[in-house]
Amino acid sequence: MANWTQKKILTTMGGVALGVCGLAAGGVYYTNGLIEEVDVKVASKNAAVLAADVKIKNIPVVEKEVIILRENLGEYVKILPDSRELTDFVRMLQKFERQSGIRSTGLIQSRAGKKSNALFTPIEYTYQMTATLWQGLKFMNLVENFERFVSVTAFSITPGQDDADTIEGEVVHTISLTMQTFTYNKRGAKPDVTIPAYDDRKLELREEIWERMQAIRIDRYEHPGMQGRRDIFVDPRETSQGVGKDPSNAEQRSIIEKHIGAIEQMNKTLDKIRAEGTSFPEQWSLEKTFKTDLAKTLATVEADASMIVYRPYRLRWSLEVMGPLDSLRQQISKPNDDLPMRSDPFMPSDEIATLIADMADDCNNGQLEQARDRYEAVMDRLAVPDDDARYRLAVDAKSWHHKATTALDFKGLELSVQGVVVNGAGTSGVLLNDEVFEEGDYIDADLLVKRVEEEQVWFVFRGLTLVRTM
Amino acid sequence: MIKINLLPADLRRGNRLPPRVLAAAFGTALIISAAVGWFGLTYFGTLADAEQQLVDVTAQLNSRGTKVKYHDQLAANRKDYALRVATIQDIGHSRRVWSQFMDDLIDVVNNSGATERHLAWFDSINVKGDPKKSVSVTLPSNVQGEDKSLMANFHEDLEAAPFAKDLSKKTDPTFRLEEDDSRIPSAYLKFPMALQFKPSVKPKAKRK
Repeated sequence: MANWTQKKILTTMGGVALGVCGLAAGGVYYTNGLIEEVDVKVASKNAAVLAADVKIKNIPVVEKEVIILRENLGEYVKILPDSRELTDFVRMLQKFERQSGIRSTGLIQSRAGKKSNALFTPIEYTYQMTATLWQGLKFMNLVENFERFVSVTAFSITPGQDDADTIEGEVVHTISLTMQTFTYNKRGAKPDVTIPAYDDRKLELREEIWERMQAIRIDRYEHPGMQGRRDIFVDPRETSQGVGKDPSNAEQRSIIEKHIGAIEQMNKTLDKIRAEGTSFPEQWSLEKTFKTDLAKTLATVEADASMIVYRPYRLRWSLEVMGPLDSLRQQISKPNDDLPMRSDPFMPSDEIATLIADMADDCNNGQLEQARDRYEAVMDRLAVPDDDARYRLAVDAKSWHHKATTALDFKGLELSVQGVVVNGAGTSGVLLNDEVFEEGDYIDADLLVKRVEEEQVWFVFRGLTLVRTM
Repeated sequence: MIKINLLPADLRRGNRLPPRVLAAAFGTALIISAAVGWFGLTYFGTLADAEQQLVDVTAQLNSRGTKVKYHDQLAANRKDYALRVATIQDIGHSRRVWSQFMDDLIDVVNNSGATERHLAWFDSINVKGDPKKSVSVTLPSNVQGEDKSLMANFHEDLEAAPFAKDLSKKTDPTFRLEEDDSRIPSAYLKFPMALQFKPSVKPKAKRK
């Protein structure tokens, strides 16, 4: 190196400097790449932190939803039978059969519940029976109103022929009814997350849980029965063999029309009695006429009723003669001073106030039936329009009626309180019908345990707080 | 050209670096130091800062992990429950109360006891189908007499019945005149009647 010329030395130094600079530049370039990678990771983690913050902020809302849904689901699945209850369901069919009077001829399981991962497994039974139309409908209605979910998915009615058996004059038909229910499959469900202070939260949310539960209320329908109607699967025309024995259709129609005319006449007389400006002697005379006419009609009505044999006329007889006559009979059975001159069909305020006081007394003294009957006896006269000054009083009376009927329904519930555990610091519980319920637990869709005390248990039933003492 | 130093060795000047070389060496050292410093600053400064940021933000994220997991489990529960609840609701809503339908049908046929408009009866009833698709009711029907307007009245009354709003299809009026001498009047019109109900469960929208 000592022999290197200056030029060579300078060139070497320049080369080394350039090389080191190049390496440094390369290193910086590489490092910047690493920095960019780290920055991307930081940005993504920052976004994840933000998302996590949003989720954390959202936890109370999701918790609330989960509690409501979990409680609802718990209640909903109660309407679906488990395998043990399916056996009970068959037992219920026997009870319905007895209540409706049908005669069963077979029960076939037309679709068995297969083991699968489906949430709900359908099960179908086909019930075969012989029954009159009204018996069959009552049975169907009892099945549809059963506390567990049952859906009639198919049915058929094959009418009995002319020589078919009859029950109380009604033809017996062959009826087949396919009923479907579902069993709940809890397999495959995600494990329930433990929510801190679940019971307290549930208690806080009980109103919302209750409201949401209304969404699954199963439609119920009360079948009114025969009500003078004819069987739609029986040819209603007269038989030529029966001609001569019974009054002809024209004769039957004229009997009905005679009574309808008499009822119209009596109603006109009643209107005159009620009209303003009728003098007292006129009123007295009209009342006398009314009573005489009614007595005459009532004297003939029973004999005439036996002459109405043509099925389509029976309903007309029931609707247009018997119903109005009953109503007129009720008018006459009231005291005389109650009949005339009442242009206002509603109860006076002081009478409503007395009724409310009496109902309150009855309810407070445990005379629930009496409270209910008091209201129902005058219910028609309490249908005050909302622009009437008595409307508020009428609503109060209705509210007492609601309380009385709810309390009566509650009284009728089979609730056997077998023991209580009172926990002063925490949640108390009650042993009821062999099951333990804590405060805030729903026993049924419309029945909640509100508070458990040593001597009594408080329930909320259809929005009304009721106490059962031990 | 060859340079020959003719001075005796003790009189010669030392082997000094020329100032140009010295300056160049100094400059080179400076440039190299600057380059290495630049790299050092980038690697041990900026990159280390970024890595520290990453460590911090990762720690932040980890500290939220338990709650996020709890949220996600809750969300999974919510989805699962909502699906089950919706299915039960579908099952509940799919039900048609047939005892009510039958009562309404009986009212239409009985027509409050009035026989002038029509006097009808059925040969049988057969209800079958799937609430998710549609339910069909087959009702072979008859009306008394030869007057076709009675049959038309009966069709009209069925169309005005409470259940008519749920119907998607109903048989159009057709008839066949029949005679039964054992009845008075012997003539009657026999006609088919099929009612098709709309599905009581709305189909779910398919995801594209």
